[in-house]
Amino acid sequence: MGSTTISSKLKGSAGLEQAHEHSWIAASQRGDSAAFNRLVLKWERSIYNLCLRMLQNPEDAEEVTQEVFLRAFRSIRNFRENASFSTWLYRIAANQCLSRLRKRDNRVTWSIDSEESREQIDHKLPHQESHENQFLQQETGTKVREALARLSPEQQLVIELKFYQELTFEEIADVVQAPLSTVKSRLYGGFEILKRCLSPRRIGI
Amino acid sequence: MSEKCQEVRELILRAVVEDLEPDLRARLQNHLSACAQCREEQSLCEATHRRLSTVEDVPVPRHFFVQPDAERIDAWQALRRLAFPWKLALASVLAAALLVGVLAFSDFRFRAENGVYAFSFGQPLPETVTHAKVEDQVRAVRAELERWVDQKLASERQQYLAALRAEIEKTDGRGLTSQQRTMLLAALSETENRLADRIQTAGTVLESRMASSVTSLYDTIQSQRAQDLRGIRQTISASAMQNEASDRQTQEVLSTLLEVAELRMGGQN
Repeated sequence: MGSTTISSKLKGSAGLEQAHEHSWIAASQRGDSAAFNRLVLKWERSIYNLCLRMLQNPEDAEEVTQEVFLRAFRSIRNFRENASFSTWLYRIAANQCLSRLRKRDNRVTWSIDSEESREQIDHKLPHQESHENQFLQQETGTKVREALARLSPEQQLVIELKFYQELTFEEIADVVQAPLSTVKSRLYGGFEILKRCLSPRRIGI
Repeated sequence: MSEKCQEVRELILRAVVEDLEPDLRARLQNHLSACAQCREEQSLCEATHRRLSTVEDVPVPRHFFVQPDAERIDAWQALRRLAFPWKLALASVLAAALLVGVLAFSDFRFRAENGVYAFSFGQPLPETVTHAKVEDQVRAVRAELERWVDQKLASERQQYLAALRAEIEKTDGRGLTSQQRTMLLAALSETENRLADRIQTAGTVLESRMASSVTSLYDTIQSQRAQDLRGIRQTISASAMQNEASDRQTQEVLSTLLEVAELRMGGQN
């Protein structure tokens, strides 16, 4: 009985949030930047972290995130009401990140190319754990980022959307605009590479 | 690794990303309970999955709000923001598009053949000119000129004969007897036939010879014409002498007729 109440409250809350989002989108489509900035507030953390993991450079991530929201605001009139706003926003972010990655001659990696960048990111990790745990987590995080940098941009994007943004396969297919089979093939191919790079023997854990 | 283990590896991956149907999950569990190697693979996949989660989300360094005037960019502002090479490229594309538009609008035609370029605005392109064609054209023009000269002479002759015939017609019932008129008209017809033959001959000759031969041919025709006129004069004189009943008026008419003819001859020469 109690669990039913909590569940219905949660559902009600999600529904309310959804209703707010719809009203903000409608207002944004009429040119209301304040309403759009509420959408920014809701999605900026997800989009910034997606860009950060994809681009592996805080300045680039910041620049691209701003570009994503600007583009979204300028083209929100083209957004259809029956579509998913998050999928639409992720698609803009994915295209911007892939475009930025393709422009780079050499992809910047944390430990290999830019010690400075690595430090810049590591200081932003949560600090609530003990120093030892924090050190271990930072070390593993660095290895993971290095492993992610070994993937193709398309594999990296699918891994990001599945494991970090926690989208369904159908949503990912919608974001990357590719068949479901292609999405799964990229995901499993990418995961195999990560598994090899992150095996305990390799990272010394 | 057995073939079955190879299949199970794929199921392990699918289980990690929660992309496995319940019946396949049960099959996987059955296999794992009996295969230590696949259990190790499973734990490796799960460890990888856990390690991925060590890269957690970080707080945003700042908010990414958009400005109220960010929605619209003035076209001029957008142009000004472009880097110089892009501006240059844009200007080139616009100029090329304008040129193509103008050419299309003016029905521009262009042809490049054997190193010869030809273009026109709205008119059909001229035929390709070659050395052989030039010679052919010169020959054709010369033949046309010769034909024209010949036609000109023929028309003059025909005018002369028509004038002669008109004068004879004027004497109807006034001086000449029917016998005289018949004789005159017969002589005239004969002359016309001869001239027609001459003209045909002249045309053939003109086609086979150069233009310089036209003058001599014309002289020949003129002398022939003079002979014919003398023949007519003799015929008329003979008939006048034969007809004792002819009076002065008839003589005057004939004289006038001959004078007119001679005057025209003189005019031709």
